[in-house]
This record gives sequence, structure tokens and C-alpha cells, in this order.
Amino acid sequence: MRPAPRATPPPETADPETVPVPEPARAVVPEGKDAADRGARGRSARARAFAGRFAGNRPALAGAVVIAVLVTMALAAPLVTALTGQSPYAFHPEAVDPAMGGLPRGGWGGISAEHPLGVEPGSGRDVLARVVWGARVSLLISLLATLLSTAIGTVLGLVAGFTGGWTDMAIGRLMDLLMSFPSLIFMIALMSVAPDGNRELMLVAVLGLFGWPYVGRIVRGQAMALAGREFVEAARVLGASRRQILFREILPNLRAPVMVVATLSIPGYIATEAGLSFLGVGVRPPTPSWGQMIASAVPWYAADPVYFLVPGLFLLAAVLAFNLVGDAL
Amino acid sequence: MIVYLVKRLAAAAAILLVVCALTFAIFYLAPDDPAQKACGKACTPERIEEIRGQLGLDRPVPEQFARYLEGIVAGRSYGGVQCPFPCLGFSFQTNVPVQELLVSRLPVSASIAVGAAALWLLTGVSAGVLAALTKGSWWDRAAMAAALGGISVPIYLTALVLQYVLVVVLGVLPYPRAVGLLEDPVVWLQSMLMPWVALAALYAGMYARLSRTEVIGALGQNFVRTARAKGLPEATVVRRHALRPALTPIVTVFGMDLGALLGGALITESVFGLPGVGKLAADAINSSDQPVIIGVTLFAAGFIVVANVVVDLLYAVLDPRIRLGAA
Repeated sequence: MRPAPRATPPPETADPETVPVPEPARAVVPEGKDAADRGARGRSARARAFAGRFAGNRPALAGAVVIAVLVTMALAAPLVTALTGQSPYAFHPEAVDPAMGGLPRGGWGGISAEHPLGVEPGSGRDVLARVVWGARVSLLISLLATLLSTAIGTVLGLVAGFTGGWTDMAIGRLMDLLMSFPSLIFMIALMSVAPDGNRELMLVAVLGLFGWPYVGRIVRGQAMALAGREFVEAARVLGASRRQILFREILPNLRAPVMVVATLSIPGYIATEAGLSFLGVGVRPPTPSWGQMIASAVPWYAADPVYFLVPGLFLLAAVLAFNLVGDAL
Repeated sequence: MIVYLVKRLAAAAAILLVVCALTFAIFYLAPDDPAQKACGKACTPERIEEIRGQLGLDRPVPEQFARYLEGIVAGRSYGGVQCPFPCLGFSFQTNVPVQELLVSRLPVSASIAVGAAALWLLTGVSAGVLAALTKGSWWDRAAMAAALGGISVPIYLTALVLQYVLVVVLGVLPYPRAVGLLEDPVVWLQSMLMPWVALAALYAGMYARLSRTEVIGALGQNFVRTARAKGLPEATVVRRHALRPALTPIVTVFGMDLGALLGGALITESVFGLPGVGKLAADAINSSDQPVIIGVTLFAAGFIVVANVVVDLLYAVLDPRIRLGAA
């Protein structure tokens, strides 16, 4: 199966491959003050249009709020655990009942004033502390993986689409190859033989490695279309170097489609990271991540569904929120 | 057409070869020693050396790889044990050739994949087409909200919640068991129902969104306007002029998704404990049974690559605008 839910862009925002391409943001020729002014006004108009699209879209706004809350929570994880006085790693044997096989005392997953989201069965670790620290791991991995795949995909897609010929064929074949890999099995295989060093960085590398062709394919198509446009021709006539054309003429025009793909790939990476950790090859305990928590909840899910639902709901909220926002872009 | 097919198959074979080489390389760079695994716990260094010799593990890696490829096309033997064509390796932990394991697990994966695919295709596409035809209505909005929800719930959450509610709380279904369709159709259906629904919930969302986009796009095309201008009834316009181009990309995605699923629904099979190809992979990873992992990866890649070829050919049949000769 696919590593992550692929989000198909909704019709209103059009397919990223056919997003209308704005005019060049900047020309190579030195601009007069007049032109600079126009540029600035153009940008604020775009920002307003951007905000306008959000204002009319309540689900997207809700998604943005949820993301803000989750990110704040992740950033403030040390603060949260300092306030509740619970460490994500500390065992609380008194909170679980050994006579019941280690189930949390008091039912409802052991929710109490001391442990607002309950405790982990068996060890008695505080679930709230693990969820907020887990948010850090889950969100950081998916953001870094998005940055990595977007960077590789944009650069290689740009080069392939603009250069054409032999380079395009080589990069195109590489993308075909990576996309026809059974990526989930391969990621698992790779992670399972990976040395026990920094599992988080390994995850970022593996996710980025298999994710960039999806960005690259779109950027390549756009770059090919742009390469034949008049403003590129004009820049070339004016004596701009290849690099200048690529990065100052074409790249700025790709901002919109790249932004959309990047935003829509974040939820995919969150879910894939959780999936890999769920299968036991991602983040290893005691480091908490949402997927790892869900995995550790599986043996208990029938007796203690709360322990399974809490990280599950956080994961669901994050994926849904990013999908809502990505759809609106 | 024939030339195209031959070219396409050659490219597919090349991709499989690269997948095979990469998988092979990863496991030979891995810290685990297969000879150690084959030998078990109580094992002397001399015995390990002997096994390494028998299995050819003392040869250079390229030579081992060549022998592996030879095994696929002609069969080979592993330290005296025959592994017949098409030999995908030999599992020393279970003492069975990998392809036998795969063949014994395929029916479960196929049952899951085909049933789920039928379910999501039916629900997803009809919901999406209906949403496109009633764009902006409450049905459209409700269906799209449900679709977004469906694609946002990770499969193991859906699977575990289904199992908790239906098996643990309500008790309307038993825990899934691996039973053949012909052995006991009732238990088979009961066991397959939850995996089907869990997978279909995820994919139906994607298909609903995709088919809605495609149908709306097709309805805006000139040929639809022409058809309407000719005075064709709306039902005919939709059925003959809008749906056909809209369904082509869906067939493409469907072929690849089904191909990928036939290679094992790893998470679904693991959660429900159904012994398909995916469960085989998960178990092999847990016990570091490298030959099995390599075999499953290759097997799954094979399905994906074949699905790609089939989809390209179907494309030409479905869409009269596409002619393969030029490609």
C-alpha cells in the first residue's frame, strides 16, 4: 500500500501541475524605483489574496489554528512538562495496578488531576508528557523530511525540465525508479538494518529520499513550460547566465506549486513516520513519537482504549489540519 | 504497438533488476550475518565458516548477486537444498524457499486487496461522480468532508478502532482468521470484512476526490459543450462524453494501487493478524530473515511494475486521444 494518504488537490485550487503561472517576479535587468514600487504593491496584493482565500474557508482556518496549537505545544514541551511536573520518561508504578496486569488504576486510562491524559499501562509513564514530547519528534521529522524532499525535488526537477536532453532523461528515469519502488517495504527494510544511531535523522533521510520524485515531477513539468516563455527568452538575449535564468527567472514562478505540494506532503510524512514507528522500525522507545505510542498501545487496546485513543487523536488532528490547509492553498 | 510493448517490458525488467540490486546491496552492507542466522544460537566459528562456504557467502558480492539472478531464472541449490525455478532465495529460519512462502501467502493478500478495491471503487467513484454532478450541494460538501476525513485517518487507527468496536465491544464479528474462501465462506467473509472496510475508507476518500475533480474538469471541456449543443440528453452527455475521459486517470491510479496492495497490505495484515504477504514481510523484518525481506521487496516491486505496464496499455484502449506508437 502507499506510504501515506495522497491528497488530491481539490478542483477549486486546480491541479498543481496546471496551476496558472504568474509573471516573473523579478527581471535580471536592474529595475528603476518605479518597477520596485510596482513589485512591492504586487506582493501585498498577493498576500491579501492569500489571506482572502483563507478567510472565506472556515475549515482551512480551523486547520491553521490546530496546526498553530500543535506547533506551540511541541515548542513548549519542556514548559508543559515543567508545569505538570511530569517527565515523559519517569515511571510511576503507583499509578498502575499490578494485580490487573499493569492496567492504570481508576479506569479511563488512569486519567487524574496528576495525569490529565492518563498513564501508560505497565510503566505508568505520563501520557500528556509523552504526547507533547512526541509532538516534537513527529512534527520535526515530518517538517525536515518535507524540507529535504522539496529541496531535492525542486533543484533536480528544475534542472531536468530546463536542461532537457540527456540530463532530463537520467533524472526522469531516477524518478520513475524511485516511484515504482514498493516504498513502504523498502523503507522498513532500510530502517530495520540501519545502525542504532540517530533514528530520527535516518527517518528524515529515508522519507526525503522516497518523497522527492513527487515534487520533482511537478517542478519538472512547470520548468519545461516556463523555459519556452518570452521572459526567459528575453533574459537569455540580455545575456543572463544559465544559473541566473534558473534561479532568478524560473524558480520564483514555481513558488505557488511548490508551496502546495510541500504543504500537502507534510501530513503524508507525519502518517508515514507514525506508520514506521508503529511497525517498530522508526523511533525507538523510550523516545516518544505518536506512532510509537500507538504501537505500544496495541497490546493493551482492548483493555485500555484511552491509551490508544489519545495519541491517535493527536495524530489524526495533525494530519487532518495539514490536509485542510493544503487544500485551501 | 508490439514495439512499444517490448520496449515497455524491457524498461520494466530493468527497473526490477535495479530494485533487486539495491535490496541486495542493503542487506549485504547490513550488520547481520546470514550464516550466523542459519546456524542458530549454539554455533562454533568453524561451523559458521562452513555454512558461509556452502551458501557462497565467502564469494565477492557481485558474484553472489549473479548467482541470485541465476537462481531466479533457472533455480539453484543452497548448501545442498534445492531451490527450484523461480528461486527468490531460501529462508534459513523456516527452511523453505522464499517463493513457496510467497505463494502460500498470496491468497490472503489477494482476498484483502481485491475485496477492498471493489468496495472503494464502487463507493469512492460513485460518491465523487455524484458530488461533481451536484457541485456545491449539501451532498457534494458532505461527501468531500467525509473523503478528507477518510484520507486523514491512518490505516492502523481505522483498523484498531473497527476491531475494538466490532469485536471487543459489540461482539458482532469474531477476530479475523486465515480461512480460505472455499474452506469456510462465512468465516472468510467475517474475517475479510474489517480489512476491506479499513482499506476502503482510506482509498475511497482519494478516489472520491479524484473522480470529482476529473468529472468537473471533463464537464467544462469543449466536446461536452458540443455534445450539449447537438441536443443530446444530459444523461447521455454525462455518460458518454464526460465520464469516459474522466475515468481514464482513475483507471491509472486504480491499477497502481491494486498492484501495490497485491504485494501485501503490510499494516492492515499486521493489525488484523492475517498471514498475507505483508505480514510475511513484517515478521521477516522482526526476525531479520533477510532472504525473505529481499524476496518480498522484489515480489511487491514486480506487482507495481507490471501494474504500470498494464495501466499504460489500458490507457490507450480507454482514451481514443492516446496513441502509443508515438510514445
